[in-house]
Amino acid sequence: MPNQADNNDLFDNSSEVMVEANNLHKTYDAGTFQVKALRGVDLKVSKGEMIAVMGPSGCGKTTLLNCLSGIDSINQGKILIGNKPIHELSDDQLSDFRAKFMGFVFQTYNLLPVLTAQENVELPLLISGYSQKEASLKSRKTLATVGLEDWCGHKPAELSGGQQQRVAIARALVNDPVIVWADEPTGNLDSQNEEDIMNLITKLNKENKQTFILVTHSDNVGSKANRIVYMKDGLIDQKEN
Amino acid sequence: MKKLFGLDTDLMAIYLLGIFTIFAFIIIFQALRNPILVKLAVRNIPKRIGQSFLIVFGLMLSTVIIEASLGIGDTVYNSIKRTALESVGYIDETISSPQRFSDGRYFPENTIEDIDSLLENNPQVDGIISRISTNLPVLNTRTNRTEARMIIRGYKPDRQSSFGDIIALDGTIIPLVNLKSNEVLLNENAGEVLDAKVGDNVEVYTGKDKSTFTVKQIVQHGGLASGGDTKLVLMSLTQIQTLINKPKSIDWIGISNTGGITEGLDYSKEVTNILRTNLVDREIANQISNIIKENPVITDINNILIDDSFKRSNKLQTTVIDDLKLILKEIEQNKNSNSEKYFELIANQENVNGLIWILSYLEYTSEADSVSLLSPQLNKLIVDETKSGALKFAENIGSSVTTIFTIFGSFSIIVGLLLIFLVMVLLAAARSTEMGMARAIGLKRRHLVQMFIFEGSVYALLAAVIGTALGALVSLALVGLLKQAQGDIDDFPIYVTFTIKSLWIAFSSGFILTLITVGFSSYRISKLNIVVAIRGLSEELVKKQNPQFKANLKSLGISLIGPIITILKFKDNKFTINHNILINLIKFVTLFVISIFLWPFNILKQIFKLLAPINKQGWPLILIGIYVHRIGINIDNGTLFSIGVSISILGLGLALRRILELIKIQRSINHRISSTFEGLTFLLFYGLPFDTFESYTGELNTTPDIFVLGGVAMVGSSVWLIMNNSDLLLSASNKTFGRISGLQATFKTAVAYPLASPFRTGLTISMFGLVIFTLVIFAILNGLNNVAAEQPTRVTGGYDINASVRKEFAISLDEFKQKINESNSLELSQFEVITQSGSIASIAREKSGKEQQFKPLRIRYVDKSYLNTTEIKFSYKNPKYAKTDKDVWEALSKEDNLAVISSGAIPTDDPFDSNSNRFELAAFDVEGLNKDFWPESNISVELLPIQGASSPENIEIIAVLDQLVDSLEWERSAYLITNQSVANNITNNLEEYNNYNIKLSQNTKAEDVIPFLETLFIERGLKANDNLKEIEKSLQTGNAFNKLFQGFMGLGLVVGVIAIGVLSIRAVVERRKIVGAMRAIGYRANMVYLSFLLESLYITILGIMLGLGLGTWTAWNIFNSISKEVEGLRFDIPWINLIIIILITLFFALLSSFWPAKQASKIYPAEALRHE
Repeated sequence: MPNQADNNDLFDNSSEVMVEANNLHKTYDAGTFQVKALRGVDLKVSKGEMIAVMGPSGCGKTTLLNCLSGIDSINQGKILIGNKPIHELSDDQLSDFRAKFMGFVFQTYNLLPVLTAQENVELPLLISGYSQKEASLKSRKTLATVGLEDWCGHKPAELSGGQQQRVAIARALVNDPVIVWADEPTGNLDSQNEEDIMNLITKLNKENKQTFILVTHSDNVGSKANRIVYMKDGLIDQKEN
Repeated sequence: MKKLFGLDTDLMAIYLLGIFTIFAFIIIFQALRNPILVKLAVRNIPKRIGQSFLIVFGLMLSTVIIEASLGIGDTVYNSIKRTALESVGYIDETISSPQRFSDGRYFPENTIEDIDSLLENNPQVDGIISRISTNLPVLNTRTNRTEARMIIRGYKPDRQSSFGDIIALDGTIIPLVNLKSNEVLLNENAGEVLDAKVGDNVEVYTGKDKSTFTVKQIVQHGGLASGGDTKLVLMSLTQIQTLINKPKSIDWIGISNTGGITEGLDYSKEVTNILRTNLVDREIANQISNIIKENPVITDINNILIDDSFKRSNKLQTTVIDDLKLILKEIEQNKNSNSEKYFELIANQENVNGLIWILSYLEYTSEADSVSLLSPQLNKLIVDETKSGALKFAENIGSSVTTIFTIFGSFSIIVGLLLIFLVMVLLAAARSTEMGMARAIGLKRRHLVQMFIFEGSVYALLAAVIGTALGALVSLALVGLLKQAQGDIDDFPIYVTFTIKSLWIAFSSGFILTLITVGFSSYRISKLNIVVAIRGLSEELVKKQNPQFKANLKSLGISLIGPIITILKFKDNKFTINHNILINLIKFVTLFVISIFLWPFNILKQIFKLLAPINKQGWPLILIGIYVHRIGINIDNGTLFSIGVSISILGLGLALRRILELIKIQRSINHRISSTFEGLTFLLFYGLPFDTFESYTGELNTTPDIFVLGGVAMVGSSVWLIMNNSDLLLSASNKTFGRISGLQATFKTAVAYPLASPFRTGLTISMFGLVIFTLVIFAILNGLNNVAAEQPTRVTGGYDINASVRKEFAISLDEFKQKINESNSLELSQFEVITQSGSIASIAREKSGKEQQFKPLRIRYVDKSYLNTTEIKFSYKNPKYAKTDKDVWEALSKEDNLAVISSGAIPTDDPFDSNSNRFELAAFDVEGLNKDFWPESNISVELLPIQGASSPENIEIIAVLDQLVDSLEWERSAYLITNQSVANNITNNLEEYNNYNIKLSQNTKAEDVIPFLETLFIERGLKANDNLKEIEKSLQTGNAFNKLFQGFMGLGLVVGVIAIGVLSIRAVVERRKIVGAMRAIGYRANMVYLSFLLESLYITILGIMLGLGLGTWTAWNIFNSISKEVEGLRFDIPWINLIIIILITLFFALLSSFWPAKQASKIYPAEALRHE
């Protein structure tokens, strides 16, 4: 099991504000022209909150998510996760941070097709230094939490869309992250599956008190969140919020 | 080089030109018809230079190997040819005595006048000359340099004119006729070895006497001054007759045909026939015809000669069979007196040997006996097509070298073709979306095939050009290694040669092979499902439709009238109709010709499709396999037998699948069981000891191709087994190496990905496996030769020095010892034992053997001292005479008419042994030989000297020498060792012992003694060898050849390395998004990098382990087979050699995946996650 004391160097779990973004700017260079994806975004997310980031296509939702989670860099501004300025971390430090404190759910699941459901869920644990035995135990337990205890040995190709997304959620949660980032988690699912997945997410948010930040187009998904943050043209739309 | 694998290379080049032209024409024609497709196809080549370079580099390997094999074959051929031509000069035919290797070789000088008369008015001959050639010790008195066996030749000076000028080093022409009686000429080699210059005095020793000559000139090689490595002293015939006291004698007549050095070859056969016809002993020839001309003998011989099964199963050459038919025809047509044609044909000793063989085969024993006894007397003088024979020899050696390299290189060629296949499949995978969209908007399947073929043609052309050039460079490197391997055996010059023909064969065959593989893989690729391709889904999601029988039957019907369909389609197709009539006509004719060319292939394809459902049941293949393997047994062909069994195994696998399907076994379990069965059965069949099936098949004839077939089958079946049970391997890997702390996450993905792609991974593992397999076998078998170094006594008999003199200068033992005693530089106490031996040529046959023909068998007769002191061992002993090796030698010393025989007389199934004229003991032609074997009845052999005795001498063979005794020799030979009384009984002219095996006392080294010994006996021309040094030299040569082959076959590893690189590049592209996700969940950049590297390493290691395991297994089988004949062999795995090979392979495999892995680690998560 990884040493808990290590966590404290990286992260302040006592802070009430889990995510704080100040004046975020992100610009993409597209050859001959530039695209300003974020133009001074300020955002605060409290611990245990579930927020939905919504807005029209191209407004910068996914960019915001990527920047806040550290998988994309910013040109200007500050990002504090548990008071930790992650924009100052190196690539390796960010990777470690994500492995220990974050979970990710993607629209297209992004499960490794060559691994079974259990092996996919084990990955974050193995990266964090768990032994194989510990990782197996924990991943099975987590898969049971999402109702897939009988599907541990199946590969993603043998699972339905809804089941795959559950596996992705289990992978996101297995290392007990403090934040879960979800980019269009129900985008590839039918309405029934969408409902099921959102119920699961809501349940987990309430039980585990983990902070959830979702990007979505779906009003149904948005309605399940504690708060909706609307974006437009790279900025938080103050009018809508 | 004229032949390759028995095929005429000129014809090969022409056929390849034809095929190349057809392919090029089809491609260009289609390209002109569809320029858009060409544009689509080739645009990717300049866009991805790195990838294109890698593809060309991988594709060219087959061409490199073919050109390297041809290049080294041409070099060897040309080197031998040039040396041969230099040595023989203008001499096209030679006449000599049948006893040319003994003192009986001289014949009257005036024989040449008979030859003159014979050829007087023949316009094909422009010169006849006589000579004596001998070898004698020569000393340069100024420099004290000696040569113990200098060749001395004396030619008739007034006949020199047609045999080329003798030219001094300074360019002046030196006619022999100008030589004074005390003057000689030295050729360059002789001058060098004696360190001589013009004016030096040289002493020529003739036993107790010596003669002194002055060096008039040192002359250039060529013509009568010979060449190559020959060291020659030239003088006039009269001088040499005086020197060796052979007045009015010669031992050789040379004939020059009209024309230059090579032009005269055209007349060689005719001139030879004229000579043979006239020099044959007609009385003896008539006696032979009388023996066979009566019925039923002549009828039976005629019938057997036209029997197809006899032609296939015997060892007689086709030319001999044809000549024998003509001989019988001549006999039948000229009952009263034989024709000139008959005498011409019967004069050829090969034909007589063939006749004796057939008479024995037909069990006309007394007739065979009679002809055998007459045969040695048939030719008073032997006529040889010297130059033609020398060139044939050069051709055979060159062709054999190329064949050997090509056979062993064929693994690498196959691996190269696998890479082409892999590359095309990966290219297709990269463009699946694009291809799906192309099909969706209206492109047909054949358009996809064409696009790939267009692109593949460019790669194939570039690969063929670069491969041919690189192959030429590789052959230069091989020549360098060959020179090293040759060592200091002799100063044989090597002339690097490249011929246009070989370059063309390499280029065109490389191009054609590549294109065929591209075509085949394009066809496979084009069978995509449009939706699956566009959406990037898995092919397994699409259920394959089984076409209906009726639909297939209809397709077959259409294919039968293929060309007519082409005509109708052309007529109806508006797009091919052009307003220009001429262009229409050209298009029509071209399309029609192409359809005719493809017609039979289309019909075959439809037949296979129609029969596919039946074939899938397996039983047709089982039956076909049984039929084929029975044919293999009947015609004694091991390869065909193996192919037949393989087909049956495939059929059994299919049948098993069908049965499991019928009993409703789940598909995945069915597949696993059937695949495991197929893989294991193949592996066992090819992996079991070679004699496992002999109780059923008997001992089958095998050729070198069985080695290739077996290797490919073993590797292929192992890969099939592994990839169809990959989950077990995955589990085992994760449970072992996957537990290493810190590596767990990276290892998991590193092994899961390759095992989830069985086709790509299987191909790559096969590539490494095949090459490592051959390298391991070579390395292990080369180590077997070390037994000679480890147990030298088994080779040397315990003797330190082997010395010899010419028979005429034989030294008695007393004289030998006396001289040593009297010398200042040697002491008798240094010599523990001095033994003597001599040898005579004879012909022999086994009394109760299958063949009644007498074959050459040399007799070594040894003195009592040898019999008492030799430590030579035996592989087989007659228990009646001996329990131990010592007993055998004792029996030989006590009883007359006993002998032991060399292991070369044991029949062999070595596919590389082709000498059919070697004496073999039929009593040992049994299965399951072991060291306790001895035939129930005694082995009795009849011996005759080469010429002259009327009745044979019978001796009994009581043991077979240890195989190791002759391990230093290049080829197997048969000879007897016996005591002097046996030799005495065979010939009246027994010479004294002229060979000495010497054991030195302790603390005396051979290298210290030999120089003094040679100087002491210089006048006798004594040559001495250090036995241990000879063993060492032989091992060094063997090691050098091993390195040569290893280096050559190691080229195949380059293919494997490139495959890894290509796979890695492709993997990075395919997994871009997943890598983004991995980075998002916490993989560090270096973990991604490590994951890709580990993946490459894993595949490489699997291939290496496979090759290592299978190679060791096969080497073990070979070792077991050889060790039955050679005692004391040890099976040693040369770990250091193998570790070096493995480390080099791993290093380059890692190197080739270094850049793709780096690229993967630099993938930016956010960008990758957006990537669709």
